[in-house]
Amino acid sequence: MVLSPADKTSIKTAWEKIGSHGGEYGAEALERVFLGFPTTKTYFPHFDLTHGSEQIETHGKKVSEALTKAVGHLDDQPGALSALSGLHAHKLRVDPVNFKLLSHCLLVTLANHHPSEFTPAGHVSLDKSLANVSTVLTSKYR
Amino acid sequence: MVHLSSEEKSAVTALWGKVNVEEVGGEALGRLLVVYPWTQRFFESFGDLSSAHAVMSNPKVKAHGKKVLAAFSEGLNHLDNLKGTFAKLSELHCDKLHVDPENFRLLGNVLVVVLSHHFGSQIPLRSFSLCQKLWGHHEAP
Repeated sequence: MVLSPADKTSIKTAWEKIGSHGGEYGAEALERVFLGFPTTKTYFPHFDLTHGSEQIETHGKKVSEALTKAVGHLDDQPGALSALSGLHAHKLRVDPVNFKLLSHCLLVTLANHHPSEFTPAGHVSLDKSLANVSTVLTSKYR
Repeated sequence: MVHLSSEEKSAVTALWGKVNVEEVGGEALGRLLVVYPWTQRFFESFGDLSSAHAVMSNPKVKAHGKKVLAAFSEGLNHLDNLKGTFAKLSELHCDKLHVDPENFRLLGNVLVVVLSHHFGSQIPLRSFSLCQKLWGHHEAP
């Protein structure tokens, strides 16, 4: 999905508004993915998946930091996310379908917390951006 | 068939009671056409869909969105017999309109996003799986 200049501006603006809440939203998105799509829990047998778990909070922060990096390198995501891409391909091997599920939950979370920024145009830019990150993270799978 | 406990049924009735079917329907369909523009292939007769603003203010999109959400509403009254309730609509979408079922998943997920957008703080997190079960794409556990 090619990001237009308008998409890039929209994404950067949205991410700035998210500010220090990134970790909180990352954790919420993860909780939503475990609730809405229980098959995703199979990747976290070692986690305490109860609401408010420290492991979910820590992991949510990790996810958010990776997305912040992605947003900071919209013109070179494969380069910036190379290590993460390798990790997902060779070690974690999360089935590609799950990236769409987490992306959906991230959108639901952002729509919930930032309704005025989540215009239809903002929605499409964010969706495209998350799809691009997902593509990069699964690019070394085979 | 969707199995809901009586507590879940009450939660759904309470939420759906707040939904302005006309407005939310138009918004969900509009966002589907904006966010996944390839879905516009089914709506070539709808006129101007050239920009997000054009789509969201298009009267045919709003009218059709209202129709779609009214159908969802009807479904909520017949959760024990969704197949029967939607048999004619299902045939129409398959045999006449030739709509790839993936589009229903996309629309369902957009509806969940729109409900979160409008009522986010009023829908407890623990109800998210219920929302996906009813309207969005869900995986069987």
